[in-house]
Amino acid sequence: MSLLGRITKRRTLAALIALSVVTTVLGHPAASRLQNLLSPLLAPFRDVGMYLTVTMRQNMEAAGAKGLTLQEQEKLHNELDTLRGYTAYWKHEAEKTQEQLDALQKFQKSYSPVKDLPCELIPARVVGEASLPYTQERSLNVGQDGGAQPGEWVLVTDRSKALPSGLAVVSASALVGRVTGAGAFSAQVQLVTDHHFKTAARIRRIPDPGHPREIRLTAEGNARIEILNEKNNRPIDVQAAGDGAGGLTIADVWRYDNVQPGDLVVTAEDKFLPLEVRIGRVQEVRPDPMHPDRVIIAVRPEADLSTLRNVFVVNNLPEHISRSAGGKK
Amino acid sequence: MRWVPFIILVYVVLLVQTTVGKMLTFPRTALGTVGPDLAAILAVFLALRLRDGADLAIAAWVLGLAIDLTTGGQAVGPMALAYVVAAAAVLRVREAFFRERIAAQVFLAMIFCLLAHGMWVTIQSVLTPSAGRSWGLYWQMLKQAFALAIYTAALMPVGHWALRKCERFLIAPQAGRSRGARGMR
Repeated sequence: MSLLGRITKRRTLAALIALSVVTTVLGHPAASRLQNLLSPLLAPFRDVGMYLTVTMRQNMEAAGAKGLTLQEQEKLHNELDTLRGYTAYWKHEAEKTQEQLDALQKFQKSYSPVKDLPCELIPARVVGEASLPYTQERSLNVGQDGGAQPGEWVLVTDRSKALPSGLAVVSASALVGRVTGAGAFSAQVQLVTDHHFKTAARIRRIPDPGHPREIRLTAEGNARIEILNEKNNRPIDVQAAGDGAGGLTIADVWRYDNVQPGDLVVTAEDKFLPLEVRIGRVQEVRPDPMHPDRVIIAVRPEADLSTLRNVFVVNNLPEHISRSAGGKK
Repeated sequence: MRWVPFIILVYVVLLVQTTVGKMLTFPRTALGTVGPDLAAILAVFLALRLRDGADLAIAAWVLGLAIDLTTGGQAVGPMALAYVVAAAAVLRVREAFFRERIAAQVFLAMIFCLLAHGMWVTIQSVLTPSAGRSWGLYWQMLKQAFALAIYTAALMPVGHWALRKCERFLIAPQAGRSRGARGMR
């Protein structure tokens, strides 16, 4: 009773402030644990809120789209009819090819060692965003119990289930971010556009026969100008970083590499993601004011991060598991 | 102060701020992503209405901690401290204003956000490992904080009006006239 009598508001406040100082000093590891403790409490209702947010954003984007004139509508209808014809033809061709491929795979499975993407793709759903706009983070409804670990990559793909094995899995996919913290039931994802996001990447230039572009190549100390073609089009290794404003930037790229808007930016293979996945497209190339022979590149993310909902965490499997199981779908 | 309804309201504010409230965010501006701090609106409302300074400080701490726990910063705790300091500042100056005036609400919300977010950005920048720290990034976050303060201040009158409707659930009736802040001195 005397102890309770001594607990005043001022003492409580002093204790709370002291607690804040301690947790501040403890830094990121303690913060991550505390944040993961709160996540399960918020998750059920956040899921509904996030569904509403994403749906409203998609509807607003659709409503904000510019209307078409009658002529444009007619032109689009005609194009659509033509495309339908092509689709029917290619569907038939694809079915034929698939049959041949199945037969070949059956043969390969019987007589060769298993080769597959050594990754497990864990489906997850975005259930919340960070409270404040300083960080570009999302919360996932999958945590360590579901297989998500800090450092793993997060992808978004246009297929929600029945993913085929192999590189085709990610052919229509885009990198969304990286898992920075994971509790038992939830994980935090740092988006590719976050201030602190950095990754090794590659620029893949897309040659356009209609608009040939000149690049400078150096071999055995001699520099020469050539037209970009499939033979000399080597990927450019770069470091991509989030700009905190919905995009990424790449610095220190040689002006002579002649990177242009529309070129692809893909991941460089690492131990967590042993394959190439699209990060975004070059949006703008501007000269570096500090280095006249270099350029700074602005990249627009491939995935629409504002309406992000269903994603996949890439869980890299140990080699012995991937060999014995043939990878997981 | 009625603490149970307050905690429920904090929970609701947190849910809104991390989900539906993001509809109010502008993701691509020259200053970066700009969005409001809805918890700050509640904190300023309490700073204008509560008579007991200790109650206000504890409420501000809870709100700040809630923000800390749902923002991916370097540490949990800086926003709790920053909210307490900002609430104390608003409590100090509130007697100089007519709190029903929209201009006063807007001004005090802006002061609150500038103080709280300025402190938060500074502490987070100090705690960031040196590899990811730069003056450019710090300056950009300060500009974001400034934009956030203006945006939140613009929403303050609407928030104040809505919170006035549920004031009796949050704040216990207080007898007598207000004679300034108590308990924080």
